[in-house]
Amino acid sequence: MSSRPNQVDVSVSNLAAALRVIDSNPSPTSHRSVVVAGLCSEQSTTSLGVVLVGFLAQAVTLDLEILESVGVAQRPQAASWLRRTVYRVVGEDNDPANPDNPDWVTERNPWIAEGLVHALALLEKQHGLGALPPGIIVHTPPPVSVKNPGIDMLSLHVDRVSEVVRLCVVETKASEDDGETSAGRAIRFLTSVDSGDHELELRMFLTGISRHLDRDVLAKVPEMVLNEPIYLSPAVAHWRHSSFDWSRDRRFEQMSNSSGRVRLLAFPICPWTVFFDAVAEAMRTAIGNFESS
Amino acid sequence: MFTAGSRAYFDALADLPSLNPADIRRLLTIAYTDLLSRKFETSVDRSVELQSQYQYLRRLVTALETSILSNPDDAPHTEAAAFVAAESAYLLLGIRELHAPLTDPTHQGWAPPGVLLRLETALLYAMAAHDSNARIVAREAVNLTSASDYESVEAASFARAVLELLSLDEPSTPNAGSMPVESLELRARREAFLWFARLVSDRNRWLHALDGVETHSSVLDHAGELSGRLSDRHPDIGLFTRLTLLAIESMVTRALRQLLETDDGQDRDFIRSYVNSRAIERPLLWPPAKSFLQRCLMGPEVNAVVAVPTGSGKGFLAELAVAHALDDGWVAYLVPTNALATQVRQDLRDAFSFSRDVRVQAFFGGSEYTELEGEAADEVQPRTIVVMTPEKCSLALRRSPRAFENLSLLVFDECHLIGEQGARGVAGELVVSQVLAHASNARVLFLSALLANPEDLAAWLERVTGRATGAIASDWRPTRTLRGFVGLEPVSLEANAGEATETLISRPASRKNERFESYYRVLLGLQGVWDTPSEADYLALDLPLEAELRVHRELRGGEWYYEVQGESWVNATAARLSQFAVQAQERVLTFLSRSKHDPFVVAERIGSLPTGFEDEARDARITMAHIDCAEYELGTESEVGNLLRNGIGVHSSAVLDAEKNAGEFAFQSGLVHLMFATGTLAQGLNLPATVAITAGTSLAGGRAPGSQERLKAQILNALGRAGRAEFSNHGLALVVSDKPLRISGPQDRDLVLRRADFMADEDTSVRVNSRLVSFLQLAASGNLGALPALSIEEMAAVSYLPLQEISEERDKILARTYAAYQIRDVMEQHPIDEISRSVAEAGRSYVEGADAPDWTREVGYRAGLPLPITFSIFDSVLQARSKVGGIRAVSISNWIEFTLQVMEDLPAQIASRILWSDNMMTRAAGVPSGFAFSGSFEEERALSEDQWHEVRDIVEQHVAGESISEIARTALGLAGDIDNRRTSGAQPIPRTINLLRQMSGRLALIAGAVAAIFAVGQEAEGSNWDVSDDAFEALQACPIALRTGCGTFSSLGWFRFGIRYRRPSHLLARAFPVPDTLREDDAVAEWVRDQRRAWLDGAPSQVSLDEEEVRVLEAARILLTRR
Repeated sequence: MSSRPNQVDVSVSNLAAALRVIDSNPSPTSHRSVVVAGLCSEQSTTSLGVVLVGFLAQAVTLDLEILESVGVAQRPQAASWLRRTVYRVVGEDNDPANPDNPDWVTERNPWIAEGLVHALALLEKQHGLGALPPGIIVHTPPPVSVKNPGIDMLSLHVDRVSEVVRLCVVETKASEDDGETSAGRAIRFLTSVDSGDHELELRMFLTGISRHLDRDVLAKVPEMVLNEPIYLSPAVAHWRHSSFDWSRDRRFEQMSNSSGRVRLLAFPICPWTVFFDAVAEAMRTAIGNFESS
Repeated sequence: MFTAGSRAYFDALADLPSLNPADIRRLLTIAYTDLLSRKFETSVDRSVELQSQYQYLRRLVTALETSILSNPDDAPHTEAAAFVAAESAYLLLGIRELHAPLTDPTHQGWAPPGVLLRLETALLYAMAAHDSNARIVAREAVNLTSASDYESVEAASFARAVLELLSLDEPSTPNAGSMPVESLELRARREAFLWFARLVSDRNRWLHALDGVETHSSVLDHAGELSGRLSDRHPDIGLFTRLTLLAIESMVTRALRQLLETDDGQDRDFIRSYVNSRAIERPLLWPPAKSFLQRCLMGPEVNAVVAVPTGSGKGFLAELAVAHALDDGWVAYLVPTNALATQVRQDLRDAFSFSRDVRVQAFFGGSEYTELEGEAADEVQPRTIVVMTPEKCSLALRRSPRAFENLSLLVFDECHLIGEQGARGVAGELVVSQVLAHASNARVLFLSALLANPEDLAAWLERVTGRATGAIASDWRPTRTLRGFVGLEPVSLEANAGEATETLISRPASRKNERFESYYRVLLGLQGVWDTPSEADYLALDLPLEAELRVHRELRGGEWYYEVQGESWVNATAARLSQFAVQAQERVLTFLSRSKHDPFVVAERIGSLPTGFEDEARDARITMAHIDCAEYELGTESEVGNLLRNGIGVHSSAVLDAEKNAGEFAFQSGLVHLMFATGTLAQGLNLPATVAITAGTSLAGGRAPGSQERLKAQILNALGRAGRAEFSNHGLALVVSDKPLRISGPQDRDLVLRRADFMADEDTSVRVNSRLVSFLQLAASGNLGALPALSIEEMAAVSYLPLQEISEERDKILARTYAAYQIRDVMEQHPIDEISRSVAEAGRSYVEGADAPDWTREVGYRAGLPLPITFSIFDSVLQARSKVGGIRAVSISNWIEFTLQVMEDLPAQIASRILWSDNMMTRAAGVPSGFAFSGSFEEERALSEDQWHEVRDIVEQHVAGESISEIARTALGLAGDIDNRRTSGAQPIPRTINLLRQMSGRLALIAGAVAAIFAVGQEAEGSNWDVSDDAFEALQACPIALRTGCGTFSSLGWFRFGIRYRRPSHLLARAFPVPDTLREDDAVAEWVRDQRRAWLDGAPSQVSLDEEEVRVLEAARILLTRR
């Protein structure tokens, strides 16, 4: 099985073309706020579905390689593992009553929202979409399970001009009707990351990516950890018509320079369930393409 | 809290430009101070102030770990970064857990967060070659969790394998879970965990020498690749597998198994057996031992002078040298004290218990001469280790120098002894020189925790042995110690002193003192030793504890003068601080250097503390068995025992050996958490503590020559006692000066240093120079002069040298002295035989003047006594012999009587000198306060006949096995119950213990001289000095009988080969008497050992015993079986 890079690349391009990033105007003074618009178009959901399956296919491939490395051969079952993996996160169908499917509210939809952030990172890396801070050179993939404690996404950025290396942490929340609460929870989580409560996860990420970085970037990482503030991005997926004021000022307790490093991402979605069903269906459809290659 | 060794780690991080080493050291020390502060429940809340500093430390761990993993091949950088990261992580962990344990039930990582952080920290410590620190952290993790807390059985297996590796425990077999796996992700994770668990377990088996199979490098390469894949896909596993591989890589370079790589053409089966046996307990070498192995056992250097701080593993380093040398001959292991000899003997017995071929012997006691077999190394078999004091080694050299021709290794522990003022330093140097003269093929290993100039001693050894000698000076320590100076907090001091002064003013003039209390303040050094001038490097910490003080007034010239004074400042502060620290769950060792009775005084101030005593538990039974033996010896209740039951140990020269052993065992096993000791304890013995308090900055007899040096050495050693490896990574060392000092803040650092300059010194700060330099210079210039005019050191030198007219032995010894090396320019201008003759001339001129036969010079040499004393003893022997009408003595008691007669016949000034002078290497801490009778040896007056009768009575009671209380009644003219307290030297028990110790040691020397006179006399004049074989055996046993207090062959046999407690030996001799027909040492030893085995197996006593005696035998049984 291959992860069909071409197919994913095409989908990434299509997704980039379908989305728009809009800055809040006027800008809040406490941070920067952006809206990612265009998510609900068919082009967006279909492309997003392929990209997300691409992520999962990559994970399956790596897990199979690991099993092979430890002497447990699994290659012949690769295709079925991808299908099982996709079904585990978005279900076999869009019937919420199907007992084998994950819970829509607490599992499937949050997973897709989180996957969207990873897709945006890929878009940023390849197309400079502008939703996430610029200069991403590496980011974590989405999880392959719906229960994923800890940080949703970490990415490493290099400023093209100053060559300063920065770290970005994204925390995603999906809530149809309570974007405010979701934003508050995401901000609280990111504040705790900023104060050092998740250092072990940062170390796991940084040591994990270290072998893929150029030497000059790698050499800057310890300095970055000590001296460069982390970019923090609360990302909130919400029903477009719910009351969520994404452009207002917010309080970031004890956080220094929040205006320079906090970027609130709003993902207005309408209609709510239609979007998630569409992405899920697109993912199930995409499996076949990955299986057949 | 960082020594020079650990400071270097910070300095090595220069490639991280934004790191300031001094800032980080300060931050880490502040973190430790914060931990202490919270443990001590100080009222100061600095959490907000410290928050940003802790955030920085958290980021520091991440930065350093990233830098390690980006460049794992740079070993020095890895070690340095891992150390600093581990320290930061560990201290942060402690601080976080003070608020709440890291056991989040909602956490879904592969292990609980407290375990993951500890695992990571322990791996970093292992990468930094701090295995004992890794072990402590790993064991904390083991205690935190159960297998069900993990993501899967395989994850638990991996964690267990890594924790076993880091805990240096033998590996168990990793197991796989039986649950079916639904997801590919979980399957991959579980299989990866299991694969790594097996790999770690295999490597651990290799380290423990449980199998000889090397892990192929291809497997490790594969592990590296797999770990990389895991980092991509499962970074939570990837981080730990990568750290584990780096830790393994580091540990392999420190494996004890490396000893197998020493290839010097020898049959290495013995080494292989040693490694296979020892690696179970000690699979890894600490850096100083690794360095020694690589440089001396695997490298080009033959001898070594090792200077490492206290607690840095020099004992194990010496063990490696011993293991390496046992294939080639026997090993002489010199230690400064009998207590250390006991400990080293036991350690070596444990280490070499795998082999029946290895014998570990120890020769205890002083330097008294005896030809008794088994009292010195005469004919030493290969693969024998002889542990002894330099004095005992000197005796062996005088008796059988040829035995040293087969010596393969000379170990000299605490070798800085040779720089000590007085006779001991000289004896140490001459013993080494003499060994080198006889054992031309032996390797030499010098060890010290205080030595500042190992390169000088190494150059000396290289010159006299002609073989490469390494100076291995390492500042590496497995623990960090925060140094603090205890003073008074000025605000409460001024307020309360003012109030007390007002009160005193209002009182009648007859009232001179008004008591009050004020808070303690501790000034802490934030860099390490106090050698940095910046105020930022010092921090004042106020304790929630008050000092006892008083305002004192005096009327001078019609005016009242008021002064604040400490109320028994040193002892009261020692008591309060110690109690305070124990209540904060610390293990506390408090040194009181001013008097050997102070430990009792301070212990009594406290009363009682919580203990771990459960009477039926093994450790409590062993402790109390020592106390039962002590109480039998005392004939009354042991105050040491009472204090131990109250949770307090005491250790000083005012206690019996049994009481010392009880205290040491109780403290080591955690039954008691507080030990008060005099400074002598600081030397050598391994008593793990987290807090070491040095109370008092002066020494008993503090004006004697060399006492300041001795004090400094003792204090530095004491400071190094806090934070013993494998028990605690960090420790606190507090110093209480003789008088209270008001501490305003960091600006008072200089004020403190004026009182306690050693605060700015590292442990290894004593420069050792020979004490024989002036002696050799005088000899070289022909100005040595007459013997009686010589200094103590010069006299000692002469008494340790053969004094025949021409002596190749003496030439060789003198040429090999450290002094000869130090004044090599002078020596090059004077042939050694010329210098040597000059020494002989000094002796010869004295012999001529003394009208003694020439052979008495040999007597002096063998007895280790100065010639003037030897001649006096010789004269007295002649007189005594004629008085008793020839020698008819056949028993030990006959010879004791003869010795006392010799003593009585000595000129008063000589008797006085023998009894109380420092010439005999006895290093008496002080002169006893005298007998009950009016005469005093100090006054150099002859004793009256009645007084000699009293001396005789005391000696007879002692060697007959009477209790100390009974002897006290005789010696002090007391009746009824004997006061058992020890808070003053005037009390009967300490007074009698001291009297017996002084008297028995010195009488043993006289008896040794008598034995030497008969032995050399027989050789020189034949029948004139002939005695029967039985009489000769008894004569040779006499010195040991006097010293041990065992006056029959039976009791002496039980003491020497059964149990080394005097009165219990007498009891065993009654219960199981050694047959009269047995006289030869080997036969007695064999009989006692057989009988002991039979008794321990249930053989009944041959006489009926009372209740107390039955209890003592049971105590002896517990001690011998350790059950």
